[in-house]
Amino acid sequence: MKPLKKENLQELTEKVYDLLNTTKVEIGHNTDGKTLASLSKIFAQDLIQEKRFGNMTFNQIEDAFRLGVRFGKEEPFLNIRTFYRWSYAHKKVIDNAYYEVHTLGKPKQETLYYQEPLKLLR
Amino acid sequence: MKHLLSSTAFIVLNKELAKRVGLKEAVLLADLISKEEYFIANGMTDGWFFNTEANIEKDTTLTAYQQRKCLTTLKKEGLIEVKRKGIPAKQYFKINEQLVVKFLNNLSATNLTSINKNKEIKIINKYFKKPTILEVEKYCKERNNNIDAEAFISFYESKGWMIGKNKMKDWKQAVITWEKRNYKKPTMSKIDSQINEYLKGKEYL
Repeated sequence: MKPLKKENLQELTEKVYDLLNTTKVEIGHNTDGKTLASLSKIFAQDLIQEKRFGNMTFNQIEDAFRLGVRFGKEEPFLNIRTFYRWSYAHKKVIDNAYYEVHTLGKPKQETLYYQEPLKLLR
Repeated sequence: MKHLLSSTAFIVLNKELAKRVGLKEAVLLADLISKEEYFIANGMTDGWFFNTEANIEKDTTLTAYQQRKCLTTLKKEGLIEVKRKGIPAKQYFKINEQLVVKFLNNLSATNLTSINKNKEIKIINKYFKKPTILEVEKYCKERNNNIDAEAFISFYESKGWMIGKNKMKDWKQAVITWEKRNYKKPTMSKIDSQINEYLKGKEYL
């Protein structure tokens, strides 16, 4: 598992493309493959470039999409804006989990979506 | 006045035909044609139908002697065939459809006052014979259309082999109509199209 900022663009694009297609099936849309391919390229690029997502992992983005499709308050659409909304909402959940563990001293196992900060190997 | 005349039973008399073969002959032929239609509606398939002199007299007011004279003329022209059969013997008639049509077509060609000269009288498959389940099954198998022969037969049996207000003329054409109606474009399920799109999109990555 590596942070998004360290991901390879091509590999990440392919992973994002698979994720978007799963989401498409879950939502029940009929977006064409070409559109999804371009969306995945844009979103993969964004995930690497955006500092707010740089420390997240791809697994967390997958969680964000899963939760977004199922519990999102707004009608889901396959566009970058929605992907950002879901990812950012989940980032807040992760940050909150980190706060609960490290500041409030809650046990790690009981805190949902808590993930140990990734350490760089020296 | 015309309306009053047509409000009761009437005979369709072709004036040109009357000129050619005689008025009484034309009346008799018209009566026989209407009789034939009645027999066709009741399942006659070979073209032969019977009529009695008394009945014809009742319908046309032609006496037996006049009828015999008319029949001789009509037979001479080849417009009808007559034979006696059955016990007790009855007079059977067969109208030579082709000749009558040809006759009328020739007449309309020479008639200068005709409104539609190009109109040609055609008679297509006048005698309809109900098909059996086996026949329908065989035909459906030939066409490979998956039509349930039993459903087809029972559907039209319940409707008296009528299509709307008209009598069915050709059951094979009805089968084709069913086939066309049942034909649906092969539909792809949603997930199949989604997978197809996924594979297409992969090429653009």
